[in-house]
Amino acid sequence: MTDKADVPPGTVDMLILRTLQLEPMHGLGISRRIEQITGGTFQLNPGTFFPALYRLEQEGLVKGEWGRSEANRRAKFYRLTRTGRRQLEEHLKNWERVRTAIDSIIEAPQEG
Amino acid sequence: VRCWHRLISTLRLLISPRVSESELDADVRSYLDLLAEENMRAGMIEEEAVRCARMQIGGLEQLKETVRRARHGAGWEQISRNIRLGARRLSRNWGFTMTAVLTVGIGIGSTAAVYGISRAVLESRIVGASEPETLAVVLLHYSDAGYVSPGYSYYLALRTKQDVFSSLAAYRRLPAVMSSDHQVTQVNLEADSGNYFTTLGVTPHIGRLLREEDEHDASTLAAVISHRLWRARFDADPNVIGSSLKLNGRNFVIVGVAPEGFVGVQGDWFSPPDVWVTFQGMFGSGEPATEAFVGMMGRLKRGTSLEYANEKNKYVAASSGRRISNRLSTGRNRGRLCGPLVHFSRETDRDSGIPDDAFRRVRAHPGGVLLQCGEFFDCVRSNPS
Repeated sequence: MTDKADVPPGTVDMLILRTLQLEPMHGLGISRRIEQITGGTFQLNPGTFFPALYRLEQEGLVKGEWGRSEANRRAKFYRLTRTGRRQLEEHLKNWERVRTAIDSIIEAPQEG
Repeated sequence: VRCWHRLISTLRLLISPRVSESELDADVRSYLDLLAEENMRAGMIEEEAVRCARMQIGGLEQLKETVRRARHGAGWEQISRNIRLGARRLSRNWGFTMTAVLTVGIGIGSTAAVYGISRAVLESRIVGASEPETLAVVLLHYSDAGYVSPGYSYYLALRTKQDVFSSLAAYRRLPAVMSSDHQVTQVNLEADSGNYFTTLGVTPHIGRLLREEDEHDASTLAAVISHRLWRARFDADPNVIGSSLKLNGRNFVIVGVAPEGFVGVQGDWFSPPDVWVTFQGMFGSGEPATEAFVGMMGRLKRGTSLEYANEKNKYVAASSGRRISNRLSTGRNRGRLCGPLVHFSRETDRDSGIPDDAFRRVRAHPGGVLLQCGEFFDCVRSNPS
């Protein structure tokens, strides 16, 4: 089993938006998908995950609609909006820049 | 777009908090149900699965509170919630509500009233005057005789000899009987030097104000009426200019109406001046005019500060307050005076050419009777610099 790690600050929104890019999901579904894709490295607890999801909804980046889960339970499904897609692209571009910058520092030759 | 969505969401929170609250509750509960179901699929019995799910999310209420605090508009929502709570509690107890409202209302009202009056008394400037910060009240002060009320003739001497004011004006309040159109009333009159209004930089409501030529024009005696008198006595008739007016038996011609709210240099609310005339108009050009005690106010020359005047001309700047409550050493209450004080010392008089001999005479009768002051001014007049 992979060791757990903290989600880097400021990336929760990007992770949620990226997860919803695939298909609309309910809260637990989003949380489990992130856990599954990262091999259990990132586990979002509801205290971190719900406030972020609500802020995204308030900003119009995701839209929640009530529906039925696979087990026929009532659940709120969130889908990415057009504004959300644009925001995700920006997040990804920015993340790419950050990652390149960090990589270049890490891979820079050390003196001595 | 995001800002617009945020605004709409905040408004929704404020307008329909119950809907937002029930949606949050349903969402969190459905999360809990889904988690419990997941636990049951992992082999737990229902009760244990629910208990475990509750532990995993850390408590329903705690989670909802975390979301409430993190939402956009959380601060506004909190304020709105507190207001609603307060209103509900107050509506349940009318006796307490009325007492609280009355107490707060009376407190605010009385504080505002006291503050307003204090400010008006201590700080207010001359209404209608331009650049009031360059106006200064002028008082005579002698180290061994204290404050001395100058007469009009002293003012005339000082007006030509001083060199710190671009213009120096004199004024004096006195009651008068006004008769026009068969009506006789008592009015508050202010006798002024001709340059009084130009020194203050006041502009008339209609017509014109007093000017220096009026001091010498014996054929037509000019009078300026207050805005208050114009409305009360003349029905705000703009054709009042040129009308005649009798004050203490003398015929005057109304030449203009002072601006609304203008009450002169002495901010006396209870008996503000109704009419302004020249000293010559009120007393004639002979002795009575020159003997009248006056207040003086000057417009400092551009670029001249009180401190500079003090240093250069030995004038003593006593205060730079906007309105100063002052009682002269003679015990005569001169009322509230507007503007910073400039004290003219005996040395200043000497430098200005006003003889020391004149000072010795006035010292014998500080703030004294008209006759002795008249002698003093005779002396001043007979000893030009």
